[in-house]
Parts: sequence; C-alpha cells; structure tokens
Amino acid sequence: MIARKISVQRLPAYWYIYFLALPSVVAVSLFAYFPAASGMYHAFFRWNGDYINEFISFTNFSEAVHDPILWYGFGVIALLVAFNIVKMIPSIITAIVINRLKSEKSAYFYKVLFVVPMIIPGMVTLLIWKFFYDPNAGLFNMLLKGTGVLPLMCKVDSFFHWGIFINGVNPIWLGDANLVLPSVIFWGFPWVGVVGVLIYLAGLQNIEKSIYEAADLDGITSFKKLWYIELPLILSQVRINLVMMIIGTLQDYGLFLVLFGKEGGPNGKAMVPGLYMYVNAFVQQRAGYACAIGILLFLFILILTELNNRFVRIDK
Amino acid sequence: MIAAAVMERPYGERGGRVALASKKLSASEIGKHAFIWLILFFSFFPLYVMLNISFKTNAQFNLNPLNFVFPLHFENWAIAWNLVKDYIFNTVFVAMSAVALTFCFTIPAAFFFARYKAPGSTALWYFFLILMLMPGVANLIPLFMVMKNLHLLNSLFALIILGIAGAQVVQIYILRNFIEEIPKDLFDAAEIDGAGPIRQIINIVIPMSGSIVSTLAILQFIGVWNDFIMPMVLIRDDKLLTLAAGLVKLDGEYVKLWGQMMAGYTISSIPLVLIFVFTMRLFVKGLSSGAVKG
Amino acid sequence: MDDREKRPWGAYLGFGLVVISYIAALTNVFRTGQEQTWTNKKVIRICHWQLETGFREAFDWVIGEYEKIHPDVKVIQLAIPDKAYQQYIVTQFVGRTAPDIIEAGQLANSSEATNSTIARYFYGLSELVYQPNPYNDGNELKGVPWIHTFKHDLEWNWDAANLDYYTIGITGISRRLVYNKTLLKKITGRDVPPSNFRAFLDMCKQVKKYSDSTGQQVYALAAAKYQYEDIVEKLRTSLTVPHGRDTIDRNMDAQGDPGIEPFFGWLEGRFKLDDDRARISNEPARELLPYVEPGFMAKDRQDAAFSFSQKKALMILTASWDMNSMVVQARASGFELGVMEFPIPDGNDPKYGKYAEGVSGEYKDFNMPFGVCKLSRHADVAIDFLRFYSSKEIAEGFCERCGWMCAIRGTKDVDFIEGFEPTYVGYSFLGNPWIIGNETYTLKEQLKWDFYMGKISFDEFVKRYVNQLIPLGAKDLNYNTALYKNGLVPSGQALSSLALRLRYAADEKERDHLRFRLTNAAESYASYWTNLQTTVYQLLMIMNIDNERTRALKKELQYRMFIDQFVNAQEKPRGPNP
Repeated sequence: MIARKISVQRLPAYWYIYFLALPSVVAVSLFAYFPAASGMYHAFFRWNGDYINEFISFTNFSEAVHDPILWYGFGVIALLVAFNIVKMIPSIITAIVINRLKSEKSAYFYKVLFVVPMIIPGMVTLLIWKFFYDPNAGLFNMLLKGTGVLPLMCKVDSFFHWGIFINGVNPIWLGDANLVLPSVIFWGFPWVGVVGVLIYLAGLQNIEKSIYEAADLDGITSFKKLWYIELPLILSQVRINLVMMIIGTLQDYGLFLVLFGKEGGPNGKAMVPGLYMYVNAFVQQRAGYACAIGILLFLFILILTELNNRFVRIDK
Repeated sequence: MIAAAVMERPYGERGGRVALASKKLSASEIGKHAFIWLILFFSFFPLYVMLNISFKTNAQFNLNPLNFVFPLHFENWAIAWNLVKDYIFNTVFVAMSAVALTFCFTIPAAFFFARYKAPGSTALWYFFLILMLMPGVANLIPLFMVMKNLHLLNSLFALIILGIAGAQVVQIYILRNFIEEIPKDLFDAAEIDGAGPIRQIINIVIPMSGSIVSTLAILQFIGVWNDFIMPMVLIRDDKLLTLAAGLVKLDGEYVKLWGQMMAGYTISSIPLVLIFVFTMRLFVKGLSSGAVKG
Repeated sequence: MDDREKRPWGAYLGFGLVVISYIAALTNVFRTGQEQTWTNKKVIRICHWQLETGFREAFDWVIGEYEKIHPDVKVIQLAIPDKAYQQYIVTQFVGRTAPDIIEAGQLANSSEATNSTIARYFYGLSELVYQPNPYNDGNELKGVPWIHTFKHDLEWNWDAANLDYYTIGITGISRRLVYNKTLLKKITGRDVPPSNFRAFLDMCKQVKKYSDSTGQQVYALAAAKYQYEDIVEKLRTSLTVPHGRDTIDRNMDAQGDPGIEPFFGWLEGRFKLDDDRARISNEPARELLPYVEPGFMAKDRQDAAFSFSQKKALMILTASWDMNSMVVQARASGFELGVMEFPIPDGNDPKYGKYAEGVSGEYKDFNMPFGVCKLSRHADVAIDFLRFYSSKEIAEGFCERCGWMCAIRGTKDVDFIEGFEPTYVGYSFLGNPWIIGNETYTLKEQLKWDFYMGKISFDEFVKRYVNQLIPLGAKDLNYNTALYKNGLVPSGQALSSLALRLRYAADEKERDHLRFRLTNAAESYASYWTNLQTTVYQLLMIMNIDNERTRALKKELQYRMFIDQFVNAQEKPRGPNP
C-alpha cells in the first residue's frame, strides 16, 4: 500500500492525525528515551541514587575500563556466547528432523508438544533447575550418585587432581567456584528453545516435498541435503536468532541474579556485567558507576550488532 | 502415529513411485522419531519432576525421588495456592491491563505510519526504529527514578505502564507492516464515506488483524508474566508482588518444603497453559507469518 | 473450513475465560488494595530478614496482641529473604517508600555508608530511652527507664559513630558450638567436648580416625561459608587484641573504626599487616581445617545444618537464631544436643600461649536491632509498638515462641537457648583491618578463600592485598569523603531532639518551623561529624609523614578536595543552636 502523502500545505485539514501517534511517542520518550538520556547524564557523576550527585566527568568511565571485575564479566559473556552458539544447534537439527518426517500428522503432533515447555514461565524453569542443582535435595546429585557416575567422577578427579569431586561430598553445583560456569552452560538442557524450533520450521515449510523426493532419487546423502537445501533457507532466521541471542546474552542477568544472588556466586565467578551493574546500583549505591557500565554495555552491543550485520550475510 | 505415517497418502503429485517408498517404515524414519522423542523426554523431564514432587512431603521425596508415591498429598496444593494466589492475581491484572492498553496506543500509531506520509513522519519513524536497537539494560536506574518522581513506586500501575511502554516499538513495527498489506482501496472507500481515521481503524484494521494482534498480545502477555527484575525493584509490599518476583521470594526460604514449592510452580504455569490451549493454532500461524516477514 | 466452523464456541469459551479471570484478578487486587490502605486505620510496616523457623509466627503473635489493644492500628510484617535484603532496603530508602520499622542491619557494605544511612534515615531515640516504658506498668519494671529494662542497658545499640541510640533489640545473639551428644558419646565416650584448644584438636583427630576406620563418614565440624569465618574471627581476635589496644586505636574508643584506623596505621608504618601476631593468628584456624567438612566454602548455612542433622558432622558453630531449627531437626533425627563455648587457645597453649589474650566480649554483636525510619508517617505509633514489643511479658512470650534469647530483665529463656548467654566481659571487637569501604571489601572477599583454604600462604595473601591497597583504599576514601560532604550529621543529639519535637508538634505552624530548623541544622552541622574530624585529622597527620606509601596515596586521593572540605568546614559559621 502506498501511504497517502500529506504535504505541508494540506496539513491544516489533517492536523489531527498526529494525535494517533502521540500517546506512543509520549510513552516511549518518557520511559525509553528519557531514562537512556538520564543514564548517560548520570554516568558523569558520582551518584548514589539519592543525595550524592557530584560531577566527576570521566572518572567513572576510566574506572570501568580499568575494572578487573568488569572485564572478567565480559570474558564470562564471551564464553557464554560461544557456548550459546553451539546451543543453537539442537533447535536447528530438531526443526530439520521434524520437517523431514514423512507424516504430516506426527509433525504437527510434535510441534504441539514442543510448544508445551515454552509456556512454562521462564522463572519456573529457572527455579526448577535451581532445585536440580541443589546439593542435598537436588535431583542432579541424586541421579549422579544413583547411577554411579559420581564415584566415577571422583576417580577421574583424583587422577587429574582437580580437587572438585571429592568422595562422599555432594558437588555443590552453584556454590563451588569451579563448577559455576559449567552449571550455567549446562543449564537448559536439551537447549531446544521452542520459539527457535517453530520459526525454523516455518522457514522449512517452504521447501517443496518434491525437492526431497528428487534428492532421494538422485541418492544424495542426508548431510548434503542439509547443507544445500535446508540450511540456506533458514539462514535468515538463524541470523536473526543469532543477533537476538547475542544481545540477550550480553545484557541478561536475571538468571544470574536468581541463581547466584548479589555476590555473583562464589568469588564473584558469575558476575556478568549486567549483574555487576545491578549490584553497583542497588546494593553498593554507586549508581553513577552503574550507569557508566550500562553505557559501555550498550556500546558493546551496538558494535557487535553492527559487525553481525556486516559480516554475516545471506545470499538468497 | 507410526501407522498413520505408513498409510498416509503423500501429497506429492507423483503417485506410484513415491507411494511405494513411503509404505515401509524406513530405519531413518524410526531414527528421526527416536531422536525427537529423546529431545522431548529431556524437555519434559523437569515438568514431570515438578508434578511429581508437588504431591510429596519432604520425607517421601527423600525416600523416593522419582516415582509416584501414595498417598498423594493434595494439601501441598492448597498451601501453595494460598502462597501464590495474590501473586497470580496481581500478575493477571497487570498483564491483561497492559496488553489491552498497549493496543490502544500501538494500533493508531501503526496506522499513522502506514497510512499517512505527513511531514515529520519519517523522522518520527526513525525515532521509533532506533529504539529497537537500543538495549534497555542501562535504563534500570533512571527508570526507577522516573517512577519515583511520578510517585508510582510500590504500585501495580507502574508495572502496567512499563509493560505498555516496553512493547510499543516492536508492536508498532510489526503492525505497520501488517497494515501496509491491507489494500488501499478499502481505506479510500471508507474515507469517501466520511470515516475519520479512528473509524477506519475500528472498521477496517481491527477486524482484519485478528491473528496478528493475538500473536502480539500473547507475546506481550508472556513478557509481562515473566518479568521479575522491575517488580522486585519497584514493589515494597509482599501483597503487590507479581508472580516471577514472588516465586524468587519464596525461593529465599531457609527450610524449603519442596512439595509446596513445586505445587506453587505448577499453579503458576496453569494460566499460560490455558491461554495456549485456546490460541494454539492462531499463535503458530501468526508466528510463522510474522517470522517469515521479519 | 474446519477452523472457521470450530471457532465460535472455542473462541467464546476462551474469551469468557479471559474476562472472568480478569474480573477475578481485579477483585483481588482491589481487595488487597483496600486492605493496604485501611483508610480508617493507621498502618505501620515492619521489615526484617529473619525467615528462621518460628520467627514470623512469633511476630504475628506480638502483632495480634498489639492490635487487640489498639484496634485503630494495623501492623504488617514484611519478611524479605536475607540475600535480597540489602538491595531491598537501599531501594526503599532511595525511593522514599521505606517501611516504618526497619531491622537496621545490612544497610551498606562499609561502615561509613552505614553510619551515614543511619544518621539520615533513622530517628535518634536518646530522649525516649530514658522515659519509662508504659507497657511495663503491670510488672516489676514499672517506672524503670526504658533503657534499663534491657539486660545490657542498650549498650549493644549505642551507635558510637553517630553518638545516639537508634535501635532497639530485644534479643541477644551469640555463637556457640552445638554438638551431637549421642554421637559424641559413641565415638569418644565423652559427654562434653574439651574446652582446651589442644585437647579439642585431639578430639577432632579421634573423630577422623573413627571415621576412617569404620567407613562411616563423620566429620568433626560442619560449617558453612560464613560460619567458618566466624570461627576464624573468634580464634583470630583472641590473639590480636594488642593490635587494637596498643597500635591502632588512635581515638581511644576501643574500636578500630573498621578499616580507617588500621589503614592509617599502616600508612604511617606503625601497624604491620604481617607481623608475627597477625601471622600466627591465622594458625589455629589452619590447624582446625582438616577436620572441617570439605566443600564448606560453597555451602549455605542450611546445607551445613543439614549435614549436622544427618549426623554427618559432630559439631557445628551456630548462632542463637538458628538454635530453634536445630532443635527441631535434632528431634526429628533422634539425637540430643549440647551447647558449649568454642574453645580458643589460652595462655597455657604451647604454641599460642604467648599471644593469647582472652575472649572477646560479645556485647557488640548484632542483635536484630529495630529502628524507626524518619520517612514514616506514623512514627509515634511505631515507637509505641516498639515499646510494646520490648515490654516484659510480650518479649518473653515472643522469645518463647521463636526460641531466641531475651534481653529484657527478669525474663526467662527457653531451656535449649540457655547455653547461649552472651559473655559481657571481654576484649572489644577490634574491627576488620582489611576493609575500608566497598572496594577493599570486594578485594578481601576475593582473596580470603584462597587463603583460608591454604592455597596461598599468609605472606602471599598480604602481598596481594597490599598491592591493591593504596589505589582501592584511595577510592574508598574518596567515596567516604563524598559521604561526609553530603551526609547528615550525627552530632545527632540536636537533630534527634528536633525531630522528636517535630513529631509531637502542636500544630502545623510549629511543624513548619521545626522542619525549617531541622533542615538548617542538618546542613550546617554536616561538617562537624565526629568521625570526619577524627578521620581528617588523622589523615592530615598522615599526609605530613613522607614515606613511599603516603606518596602513593597522595597521587590517588582526591587530596585537595578532602583538605579543602575540612578547611572550609572550619570557616563556616556554626549553625543555629537548637
């Protein structure tokens, strides 16, 4: 549809149309732009959120750039992004497998089933996993002990001298400094994000069945089918998901806040930048510094998104 | 399922040769089904555990973690309901209000951008578009200050407002694309009949946008349902907490009665389950169409 | 085709469900909102983090009793999980929505920030505490000033930095060693563990031998992260008393104003972080380490309690607030509990005798203090509630129901808590020489576990700490300066009395006048904070000393600002006399 053009001259007759957009503009300015601007303003101050508001120009930024905790946090995030990329694979594979099923009815059945874990609120999933990781009552340790994997791990441990798995002691998944990151990475097994699966499936629907049949007749292996037929078609969705995943991993800290609390875990091992920002603002009362960290994070995300847009292209 | 796979008519045009191929259950088919069932098993395992434990006392759980044990302790559910009901009602109120009100904002705005090209509308459009790129992570503290200055702290209205403001940009973007798809003639005809923009929206846009609106509504509903950082920061009174923040608070107990907590989690999931039961098809359809566009 | 035919009733059902649930939600929210506002009642809120067994129920009982007498008041208890408390309180203060009565702990990471917060947000109670508690009219404490109805005369609640009483606490706490009597008898044949440190270590060795030989895994000591720190502190304090007494305590207030005084002492070169005494003060804990349940630094206190109740550990250092749940768990598991003081090295100890000075007095320990917030709209009701709460019968009933020790004179404690009676006599709490503010706190937290676990030696620990001490210490001092400049004064007698007069003002005109005076007094007294004077004075003295440490510090410190502030303060006219 070509929008109706309203030139400046005819404006007086149509002045009221601006009111259509006005509420949205107000809402967005007040609750999105203004906080962003305010955050940028306060990053130049020593602000404790309350009564201390001293102008200290770039001190917060220079402190942030030299802050080992912050850079450790970025390191953790880099690690998580790398693993999250790997974790995108099960969704893709699942979508492809479902799509390749010969029976449409069972495909639909599976689609429905896959939606079910999605509708469980994220917090519930998070807390159930926290329960899994509980050293005494959690299922993880129970399963490990029951299936005999734990004594095995203790033996391996004593061989390599890790000092993590000790005989007779339940591993404390969320409390032991060495186990924190593996626990976070493993979280969410089997990593089949439902939205991802459905979106990939939608893209894959476009592939005509006849192509598959032709490929079958020509004797092309499954893997080649994957590489030449399916992947190219879902690449755009993969790219979008990749961007969203990166942005999410960079800025999300809710999981860490719930699992690890305000210290960021033992020795601060899980102190991602988002959590560090939250702790600085609401626990240590260094809101100005927190704003500076927020701005740094924002710049990071912006740069990464830009890079992603430039280098990850889709050739249709 | 397997029988159906064998007997189903292929929808390919070629009859004979393909039909032959699909009559047997090939090894690769079994492999695919097995793979999917494996994934499903692991995905559903936490849910199974949740349901399972919700009927047990701590003692029963210690003895028998994974199996169902009788007697089933239904009182866990009663206690959990007491703990969680305020949170659920608060969240339902906040989420539904936010969703309903958001469309009052976004549909007119999307209409404005789709239908008219008035002076300044491009600038305004970029005004919104930039926000899609801006991560909101740095906004937490100033947002708190804004709420404080509006005297909205410790109230559910603050959460509703935040829900409305947060969903604006994405919804306007998608709705604009959608409205642009509607043939121009409909609008022109309505305008000739003397309908103003509001009338046009009510009579043309809304009836046609059923599926996209419900998809967006569900997505926003889920977003508000799951949000916990803002409620945790803004709300002082326990009675006003929303669900996710409330569950975190319950998790802070020292002596954890897992049965009750699991029952609480299950109860917290039920509203979303109900929604999906009714809107399944719409949602899947809307997601596919929206996603392919995006 | 199918869809459209099916849609009508399915959609209607769904829509109906939505409407019904929204109406239900609206009703509930409205009802809750009504309860919250209680327009005809005065509502006060109390927040704390005591989620221990029995506490909230006991408090509900107190609230019930109070509301019986005062039907026009509604009291709401807000229990916040421990981990989230600091964030909660900070947010509530900043947002000006703080509850009326607040448990005044975990307010900030550094003591300066804590002092500042208390001065800013809590009422000083000095005038009130000398009045008798009207709720004691029915017992032998009638007419006794409120302060003297406490066993400790509110010494635990005296805020030395702000020179006022800001909080009331009716329980005392102490930390004691709780042991499994049944298991002890079985392993060692004793009824009571030895109170001599050497003998105690021998007993732990015996337990370990037993555990190894019978294959039944029992550890001598269960611990959680923070409990282990308590043990380390207990052992360390008794050996390092002279540091405070002879070396650090410049302003002679029997405390090492946590961090500042040791830091200045170190800058001068007067106080060594790594002298013999400091070195050896960590040895007792090291000796105890092999007998503590492994993996403890990852544990929470409930995990440690779990081990103990599962008979996996013989003893546990627990605080009196956990005793109730210990008793319940012990009963469930079927063993008897015993309580004793944690054995520390005494003068006869072959290794530590030379350095051992004795126990530290437990009078400065945190005791669940409740303070009244200045932002409260019903401060008089809040104070009245606190009086009710600390009257003899109510306090006794409360402590009986939750199993804590009661600090009101003439009350009797529950039997299992009797071993926890705090020691009033002993050396003062030195204060942590490693923490000056947020930055050094974080630094210490990062380094200490490697050190406690023996992964790094004491020298290495001190070296790493000292490496970062000047830059981080300067940062903390800068922040503290900002606090001083903007903080309210705690030469608080004047402010508190003004605030109280404001509360009991006769009419709006007087209220306005008092508010005006209160603000003025606060601003002009800002420069006369006693700690500021002490700190600045000490810092000036330090800056006059020229050694490499002070040179490094001068570079990092916003030196000018600090000194200018002090100089300006001297020249400012004194505020109006109240």
